[in-house]
Amino acid sequence: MSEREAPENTDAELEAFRRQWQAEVQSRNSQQSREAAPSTRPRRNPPPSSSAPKPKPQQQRHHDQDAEEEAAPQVYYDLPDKEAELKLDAHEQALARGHLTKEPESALEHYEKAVEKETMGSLGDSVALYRTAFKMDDRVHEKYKNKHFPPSAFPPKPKPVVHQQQPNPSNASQTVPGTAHHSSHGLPPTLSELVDQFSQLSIPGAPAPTDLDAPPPCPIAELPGEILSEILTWTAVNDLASLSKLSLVCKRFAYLVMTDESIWKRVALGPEFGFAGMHYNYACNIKGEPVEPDFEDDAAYLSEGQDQDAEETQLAPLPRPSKTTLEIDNKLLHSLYASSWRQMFRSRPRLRFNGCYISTVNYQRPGATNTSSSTWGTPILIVTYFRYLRFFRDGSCISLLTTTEPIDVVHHLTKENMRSYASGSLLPNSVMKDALRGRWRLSGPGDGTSSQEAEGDVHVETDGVIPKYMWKMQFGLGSRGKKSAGNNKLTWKGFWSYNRLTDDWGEFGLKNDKAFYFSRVRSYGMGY
Amino acid sequence: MSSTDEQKIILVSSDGVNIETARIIAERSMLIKNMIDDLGNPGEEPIPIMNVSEAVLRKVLEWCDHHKKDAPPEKDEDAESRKKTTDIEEWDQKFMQVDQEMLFEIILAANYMDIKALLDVGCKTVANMIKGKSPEEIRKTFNIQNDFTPEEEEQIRRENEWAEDR
Repeated sequence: MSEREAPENTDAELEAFRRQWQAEVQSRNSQQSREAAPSTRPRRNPPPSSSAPKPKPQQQRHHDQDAEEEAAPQVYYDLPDKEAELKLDAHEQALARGHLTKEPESALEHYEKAVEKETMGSLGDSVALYRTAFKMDDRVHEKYKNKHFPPSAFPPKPKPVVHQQQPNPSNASQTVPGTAHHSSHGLPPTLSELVDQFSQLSIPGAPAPTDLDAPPPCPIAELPGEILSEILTWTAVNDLASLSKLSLVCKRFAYLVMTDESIWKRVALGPEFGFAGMHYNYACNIKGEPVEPDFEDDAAYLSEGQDQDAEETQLAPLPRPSKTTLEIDNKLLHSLYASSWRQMFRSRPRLRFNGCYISTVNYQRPGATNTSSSTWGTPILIVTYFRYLRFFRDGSCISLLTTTEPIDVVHHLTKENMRSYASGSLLPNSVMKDALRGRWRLSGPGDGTSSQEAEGDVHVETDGVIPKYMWKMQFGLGSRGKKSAGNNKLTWKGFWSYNRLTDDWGEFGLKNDKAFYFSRVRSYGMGY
Repeated sequence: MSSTDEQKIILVSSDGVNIETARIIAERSMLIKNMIDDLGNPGEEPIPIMNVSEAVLRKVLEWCDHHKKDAPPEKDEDAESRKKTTDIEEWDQKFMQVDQEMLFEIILAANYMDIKALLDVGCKTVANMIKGKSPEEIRKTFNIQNDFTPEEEEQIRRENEWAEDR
């Protein structure tokens, strides 16, 4: 770990910047009370050592990272924009790497880059970029806010809307949609009114490019509602995100997406995203070997037909056993989720398999003063590390604690790498050498171990670093931000170690541990 | 037994064209199967398929021909099990490479003639056309007009943001 002194002129420059910053923060604080997330960012970066007697900045290296880090605040994830940045896939990975070479030019670009760096935990880079951005344009945070959080996104003012019934392009779609399985409950009242107004509309065809042309054909408009629902269901099962995009195509789709319970029932109960994929009991041991419930063994010897059934249950990654789970689902649906499958899917705790959960931990601690050198001030060590958790559908999981950044980790977070890592390997997947295998389960009503357990906690058991230990973690499942997808945040509830030899439990402190946030990783596909 | 396999029947399309086909092929359609069961004496009287034009009917029968050996559709089919896999087999993918008008006609015909497996293939094909596209791209793909006011669009967007699965 090396330590470096900032040259004098940088110091002066920094001081000027700091003063400017403070002035700005003060002026903004007065008018800010109602404005939320984005503009608070600069305020969260207080002058690094304003309270310290010597405002001399210390710059250091740590953890083999080239990035220079400076005392700076925690990263906050509950900002909507972070979600986008945490999305990692091959394409974006390339992009992100491209960013490193492509220099930002305008103040806004600098600011955006700074936000990105802050998310990634490179606080030093981030602060440097913020500084440049503000130097180039002291109103840059407002530009940023306007770009990423347009004022229109804030006040949800319901406007009375005048509707004209669209001329019906065909007879086929004039069939009045059966309202039996459509319900707009579970939606805010203004919205459900709005959506109900869409109920009778059909898909409008695109207008003719010129007056003389015939309008382009729009054969999809001929389909009756139940077939459209069918198509939407397939779309949802394929790619859930498409559903929210479909709702923005036209009013007809919006109505179907938001009210058709059959779509949401399929999504909620299906294995792809829904609760059929959850395990309320451990489905495997810590090594990831499946635990066979007793009834399967019995079934295997009963008869030919039974035998096949048992086999299928074993092969299927998701044994969805009894009717009781369905009964539970139904009971919950009516008691907790306003009889709306959509609401249930949105709010009921579930884990997601098409990405991983990442906890970025930044903390600082005073370093030892080097008495022999003639420097002023005390070095501060800034420590950044990441915890990764990836859950698998078979009930196993991988837990990894490393200083390597998400971009270099998430794609290697696979079971194959679990088995094949060779210590000392220089391959990119060598980040996996410290990964620990484990298993997970959700607490909840389907949990046989204790029927009264509250739903929504994730229990994880992993190998310890030394074989004689087993680690147990417990998390609460929550969501980041009100409008977010939900189930994308794991907050620590406890972290224990169990000594297999002496049968002792010990508890780890959670002083520096931060919540895990979900990041979708496209290379995982659907997580199968 | 073999007589059913060899039996020919005549279907009449909506535009009045007679199409002769094997009973086993036509019986992929539950509509036709039930009609034959009800009428008795298959092959004697042509069966009108009211809502399906000749071109589409031939296409549908082509599919039925290729799938005539598939397990017959179960009577009380479990809707959940039917929706297990989202994959489309290769032959079906090729079969569905038609223009949109034909594609939706096939879907409508499969719905009318009650051929669940074909309906599924059709719906999956459309779902694949939607997958991964932005709203604007979806509109372009299907020639759909945006009938939202900006305010409505914003409201819907906000309500469904959570489902973006990020």
